[in-house]
Amino acid sequence: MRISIVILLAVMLMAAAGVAQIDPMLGSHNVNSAGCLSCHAPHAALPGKGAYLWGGSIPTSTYTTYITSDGNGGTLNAGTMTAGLTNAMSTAVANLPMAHTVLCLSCHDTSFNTTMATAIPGSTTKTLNFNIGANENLSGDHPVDIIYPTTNPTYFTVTVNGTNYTVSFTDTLYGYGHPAKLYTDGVNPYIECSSCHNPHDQTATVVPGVGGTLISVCTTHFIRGQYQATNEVATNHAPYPSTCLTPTKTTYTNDNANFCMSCHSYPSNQFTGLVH
Amino acid sequence: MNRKNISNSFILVLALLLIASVSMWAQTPLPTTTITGRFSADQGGSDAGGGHISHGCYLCHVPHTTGTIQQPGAGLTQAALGTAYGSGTITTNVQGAGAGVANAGTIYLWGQALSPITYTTWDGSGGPLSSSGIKVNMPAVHSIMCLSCHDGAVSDSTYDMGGPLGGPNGLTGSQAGFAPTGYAGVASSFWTGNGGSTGGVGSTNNGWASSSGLLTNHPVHAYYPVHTSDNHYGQYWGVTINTVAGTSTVSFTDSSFVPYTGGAAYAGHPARLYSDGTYAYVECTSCHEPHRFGHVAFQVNGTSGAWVVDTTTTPTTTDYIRGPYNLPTGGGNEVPNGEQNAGFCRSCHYEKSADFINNVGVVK
Repeated sequence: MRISIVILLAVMLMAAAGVAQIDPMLGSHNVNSAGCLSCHAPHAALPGKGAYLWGGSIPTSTYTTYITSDGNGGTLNAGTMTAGLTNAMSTAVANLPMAHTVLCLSCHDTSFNTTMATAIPGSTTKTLNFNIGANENLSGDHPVDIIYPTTNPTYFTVTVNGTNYTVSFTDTLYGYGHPAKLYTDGVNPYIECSSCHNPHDQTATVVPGVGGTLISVCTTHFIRGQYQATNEVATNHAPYPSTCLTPTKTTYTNDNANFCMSCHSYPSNQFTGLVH
Repeated sequence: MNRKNISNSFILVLALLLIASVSMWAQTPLPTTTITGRFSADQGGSDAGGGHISHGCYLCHVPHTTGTIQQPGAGLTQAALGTAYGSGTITTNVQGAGAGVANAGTIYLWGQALSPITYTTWDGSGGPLSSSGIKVNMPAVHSIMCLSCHDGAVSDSTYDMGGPLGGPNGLTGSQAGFAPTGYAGVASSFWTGNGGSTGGVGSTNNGWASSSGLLTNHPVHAYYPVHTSDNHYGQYWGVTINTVAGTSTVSFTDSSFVPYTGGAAYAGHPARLYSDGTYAYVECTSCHEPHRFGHVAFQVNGTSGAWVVDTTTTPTTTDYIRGPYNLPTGGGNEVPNGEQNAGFCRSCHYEKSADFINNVGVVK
């Protein structure tokens, strides 16, 4: 009996030791409990500032992307980024907008990264939940690597800082802030994958509301703003919401639409223009 | 036999016994402590020095500039140990890469010749990284000394560790602990094409080879933002420079950061920054403590004197990382903990921490 108990305890301890530890922020991007090493390699990474010490291979194919109603988009030449990395010390390369899509595809394009698609490694086999860009096809996905409309009145206006390579929304009234991040080559603002998704933050974020007040919100799928999760709007910023780890809201609501409207101003109350 | 003779005999016997026992004691092998590390199967245990300890402190430091060391079979020669160079001697690179190598004898009693190469770093923000004109109180020392061994293109080929570390003929890939095969538990095929393997844009320069490049490695000899006018100020935890002529130090101002759940007892910023009195620098030993392979020792909450020196169980680390850190592929008593590992990175990269989100807002 005693021996059985000892064996049982030993097994439990071994199992506990082998359990991968979650990271509330990285979530599923904490691949095999590797932490930041899931994507970044402090040594032997891709060279160049624009590659952000990326630990894996990156695709070089030309992807077919979504074509907007005004005829923009249609092509993402990932090889352009690879060529750009050779000029590693260039500030422009460091801020290469395309990187914020191509690096995502290095894992999420399961045609390119077949290993990641089938087995994220170690002892546990997983399937990549979001297979995006397979067979160089992004035509059915929200436009990426496309210039953000700066003259279209149905989008909130932005300002490009060509010195610091930043893009800012000029509006300060929209109640849910503008959590989306736009990228720039110093001239134009670009929409990339991580315009909507923050790969470092899966379940919760804080967005600036009216007047700069910080609003703590839950989110999901690394979306930069409040989305499809428990509404946890606070009067001021709160500690990283632990409740976001177990979101209870699974239906689409206005909250989710608010995130889209933080760029697409037309459906929002802030839109005052005329469209037909 | 009278009483005196008996006494003399007793003393004689006692003396003989004493001599015999001393003789036996002298011949008895001293107890040995097996110190193992990254370059052996065991990555945990009581290891304090990992692969760096293969010849004790003498692998890197030389107490004197002359003399020999007896290490039968070790493959190290006087030159390899630096004893042939002499303190302050200018000599040629050990592999003939160039002249003008400053011997490091005057810098932490360093036993290796320092590379004359000027390295290309990831961002170059801290200026050229080179041994040229280097002195003990310069931040770059804490990268240059590492490269004197870890850049296999310049380190001594007589190392009996499979060749120069990371060099063309030496340890590479997973042997050196830096990818790509099975790196961090991620399947090797995923990593194929990165800087350490074949194919991909990084294949011609892995940062450790003769091209003198460190482009594929985390920035070293790079500025850590201190002043409000510095690039990326606000994206990293705040620090202050304690300016003392020749020995300036850098301290994190925050005392609340907790790197991982359950790690409150080890709250703090394990990384070490260096300063020339004006700027703070990231060097190799900002993240790595070359004297501790598997156990951490750092100031908790930045409080002077309050050091956590764990030599038993938790928190452990690996690969000389200064804070708690355990890889999925680890052995020994490593328990993979992604939050803990990410927490070490976040102890500098404030922008990637929940603290930043709570205090500042969405990461832009």
